[in-house]
Amino acid sequence: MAAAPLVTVLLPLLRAGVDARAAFRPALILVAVAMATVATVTGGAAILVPSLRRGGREAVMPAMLVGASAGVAAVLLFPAAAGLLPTGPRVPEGLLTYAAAAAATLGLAQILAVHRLARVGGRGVVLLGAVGLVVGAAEALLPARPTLDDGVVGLVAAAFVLLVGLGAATAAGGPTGRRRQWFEDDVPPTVGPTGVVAEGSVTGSAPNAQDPAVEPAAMALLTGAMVLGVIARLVIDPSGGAADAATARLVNGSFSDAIHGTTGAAHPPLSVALVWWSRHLFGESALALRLPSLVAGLLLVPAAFATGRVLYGRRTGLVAAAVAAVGPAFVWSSATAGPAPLTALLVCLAILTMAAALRHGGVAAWVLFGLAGAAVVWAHQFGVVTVAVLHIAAGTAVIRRLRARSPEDRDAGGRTAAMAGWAVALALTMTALVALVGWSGGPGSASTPPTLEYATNAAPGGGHTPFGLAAGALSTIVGFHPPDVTSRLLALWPLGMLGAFALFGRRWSARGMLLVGLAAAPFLALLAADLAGAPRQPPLALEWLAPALPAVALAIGRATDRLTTRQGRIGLALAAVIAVLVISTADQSVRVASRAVPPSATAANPLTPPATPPATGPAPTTRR
Amino acid sequence: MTTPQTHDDCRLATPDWQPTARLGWPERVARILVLVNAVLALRYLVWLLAPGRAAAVPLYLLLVGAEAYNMVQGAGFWWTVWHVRPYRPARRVTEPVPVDVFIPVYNEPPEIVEPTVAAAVAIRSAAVRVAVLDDGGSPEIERIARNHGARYIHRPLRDGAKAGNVNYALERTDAPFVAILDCDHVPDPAFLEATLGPFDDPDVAFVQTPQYYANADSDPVAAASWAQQSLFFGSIAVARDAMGAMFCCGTNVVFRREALRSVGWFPTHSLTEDFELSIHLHEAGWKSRYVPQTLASGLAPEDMASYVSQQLRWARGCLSALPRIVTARLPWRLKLNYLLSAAYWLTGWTLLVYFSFPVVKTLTGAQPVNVVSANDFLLHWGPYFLSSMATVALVARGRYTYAAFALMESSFWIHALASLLTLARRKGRFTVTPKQGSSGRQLRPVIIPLAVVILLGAVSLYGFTQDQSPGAFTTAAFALVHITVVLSGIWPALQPASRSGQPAPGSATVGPAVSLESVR
Repeated sequence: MAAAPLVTVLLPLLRAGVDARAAFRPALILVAVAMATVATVTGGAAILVPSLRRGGREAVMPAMLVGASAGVAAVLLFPAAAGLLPTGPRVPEGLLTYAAAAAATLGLAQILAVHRLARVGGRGVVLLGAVGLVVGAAEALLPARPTLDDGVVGLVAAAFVLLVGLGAATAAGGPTGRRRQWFEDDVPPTVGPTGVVAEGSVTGSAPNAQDPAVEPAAMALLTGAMVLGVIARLVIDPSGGAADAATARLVNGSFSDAIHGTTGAAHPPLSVALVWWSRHLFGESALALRLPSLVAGLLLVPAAFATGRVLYGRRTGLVAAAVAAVGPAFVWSSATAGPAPLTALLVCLAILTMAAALRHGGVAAWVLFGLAGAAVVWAHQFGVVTVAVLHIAAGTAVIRRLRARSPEDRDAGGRTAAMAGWAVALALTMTALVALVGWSGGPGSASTPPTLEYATNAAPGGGHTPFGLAAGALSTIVGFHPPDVTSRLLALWPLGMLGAFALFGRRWSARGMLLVGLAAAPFLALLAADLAGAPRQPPLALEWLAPALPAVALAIGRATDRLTTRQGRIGLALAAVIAVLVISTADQSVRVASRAVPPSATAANPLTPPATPPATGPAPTTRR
Repeated sequence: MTTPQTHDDCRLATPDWQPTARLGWPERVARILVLVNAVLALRYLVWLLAPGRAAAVPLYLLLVGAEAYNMVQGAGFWWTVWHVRPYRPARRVTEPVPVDVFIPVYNEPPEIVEPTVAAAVAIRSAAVRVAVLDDGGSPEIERIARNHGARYIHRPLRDGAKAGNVNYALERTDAPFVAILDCDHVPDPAFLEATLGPFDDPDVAFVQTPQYYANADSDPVAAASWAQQSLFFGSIAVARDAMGAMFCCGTNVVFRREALRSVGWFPTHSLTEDFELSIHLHEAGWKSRYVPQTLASGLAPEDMASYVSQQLRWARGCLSALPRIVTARLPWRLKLNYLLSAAYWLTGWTLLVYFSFPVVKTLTGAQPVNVVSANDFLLHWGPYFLSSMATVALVARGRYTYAAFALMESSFWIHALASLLTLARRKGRFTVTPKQGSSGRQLRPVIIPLAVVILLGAVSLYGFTQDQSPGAFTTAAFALVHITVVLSGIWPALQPASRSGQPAPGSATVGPAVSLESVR
């Protein structure tokens, strides 16, 4: 399978009429980039998730996430590195990135192949591999005078066939007989006399993780969530916004110009770098501009599942994935060329890598955690605060382990290694922070263009009809409403106080504190900026709060999971359906009404809700 | 012949709660939050008092007053939380020190009283002399006392309510220490071993222990009531002990007889004789201590009528003590603690102010403050609100529930009524908190909060018919928050018999609740 680049790229050179001598060197560079990418993706997953080679189903999702992360890095790095090679016959512009992207896909397929080989043997994998290679070779050889472009297209086709085939085989496979937790508990949670759940670390075993394997049903639900996420993001086609326009201006020039153009922007340049690559790979379309956001938003779905599953259990993971797939804020952010989805994805990966590092130790895991933290710092202005929360959590867990050791402890070395690993991760993140401050010279702009949080008044459905209501319901779920509806929904913010009361009666676990800390971090950053006399504008914009998105999804997942009774879950589902119907009816009414209204009448700025009554909340004190 | 005892009496089970006696991470985090709270409260106050903020001046003044009151109460809570210290147990006393154990009784059912008497005579170590102080003159209670070898004291005149009853017994007994147990509080055999140690300090007048409710699982009102208690007898009482400011709570307490004698026994003119006695003792230079160990198991009010009766008595007693606290010659720290405790019972007025805003806004359009946008208000008030909530949640370690909060909020009218009655100098009647819940719906004790819910709902609906602007949505959302919380608080009283008022296992066989007869 790893030989696919050789087959698809080099085979066309053997065809008659092809100038093999001129094309040989660029082809070799293409093959080298592709093979290096495959090795990075597959190797990274195999090293960080060793259970993959033992055929554990629970290893598939983490391995794919690690592979995808490594693939993104490889697509960014290797083509750029290839561009530094001595001059000679050049590879056509953009082709290297295509090849790397195809190879990354191939790497993901290879991860699945490794798993299938260990689990059920090689027959099916060999068959699929052969089919993939044939399809790829056919794509490469069918043109009369094949070029390198055709070779790369062949590679893309082979990778696609292999990934889809192996993915289907993996999803359809039966449950494994082995029941091994990815993150086993090192200190069993206990309820002390004071009612506080004592835990050894933030990665203690999930309360409902009796069956840790990713069952086909869970895989099917996750796949369903992904499909819904794709539909929600593709069906809703926003008309653009100031954020898109600002990003488009940034990425119009060279890569260097784009990066340097972010020095006065609100956020560090990581997301702009990705958008630049996307524009130069896929053209000038709006889709190319938003592609990194779209992809990051979709990758967040499995990442949220994996994180929820690691922290609390499968149900939490599934609900978190569903929220990440169709939650309004998640869909909004995915529809804009901004840093929000990338930041959310990186935060999720940072949580995952931190959990892996704490559970398994090892330099690689800690380095990956450090790199994930560094990436978060370079992705979002408030990323540093979120990363600080993660490092405090990791440091606290490591220090607690060190303090808990007894004279008979045989794992003293492991604990010391964990301390060293955390120090390495911290050093990496700090280096990234220092480099960012040195490069940008400050925390970033205090204002950001209003993101596309509101849809237009255009009616998605057919008025007061069942179809219109269904269309309105979809809008309700993913959060795109006319400004008239959105401003009213936002005006219901006092109902959030009821959510705050959920703080009461909770036993605080380390994991719960981590979630609260991650959710609160960007708000604290906003508050600190306000106290420092540099309030962020627009205040409470989704873009500022992006680092909290994964924690919000996980918290919703956890809250839903806590409703363990069937009655509770049915009640919640009914309430959700009623809310959706009510909001969608209002949405539909406003859309139909708005048709008769001249456009100027609905041009009020939805970002400025009208004056509201003052604090009429209950006393935040509880005292005898 | 003794009354048959049920074996499933919840008071005989091992308590599932012990107060926090250490400085754990929640307390440490809470300390950090205290500092954060102070900054956020100040920030909100500065925003609220900014020039030009007032819209309708009377409403604005009401808002500022309510917020200022809550901030003072909040600051008092944070100040208390700051003083939580690890508890160092005193010496365990094993020598047979003579102790009079008083069990005041007034018409409570025998099956409630008997386990308490039986457990009291079994208290270890000290030379215990149990006396049942029966103001009801019940032959059944007398028989229980005799059967368990306890002394039975019945006075001819019932003046001074519980305080008078205890004073009568004090004059007829002579042990150097006196323990008082309400008749529903079953003591642990180690009750005196744990509580006599602090008396090694000759200045200690009394040692208080937690008032644990064993029937919290039996009824929503009992559960919420216990959740409120656990916050007080948890971190708050531990911190007050560290400040030397713990006051007597009337039961599960041991007194030094000499101290009681020095202040003329229990004051008989107060509805909360325990609270007022504490002021007398502290003023006389005596010290108080708190032992954070659950050493007795009692019963919480099991229905809304009982809860209202208890809260009204506490509110009236504490509010009527306010002038006494102001004039008392106490160290400032003690005086502040007493003031904060007594003034807590004015909280209901602030809730009434908050309830009134959506109504006034909907009907007249007037609102207290001018705000540029919802974001502006949310950015200043939201962090303060959330941080304050988080502090309470952390300090309570999960014991303080939403139901407890809702029950407190739905008791707003009790605070208001108590303060009006106190202002009018109406004499209160000491009413014994009923020890069993009645079954069935209880509309009467919740008629006022129910009326508020209906009013808020009706006004919101009317508002919707008149105005569908975002501002109207926000007003309605505030109303809906209040409706939800108050309705949650009174919900148990609106439930039919099958879902509310389930008596605790220990009192499952009893009949109607005792009558709230005046003893003054």
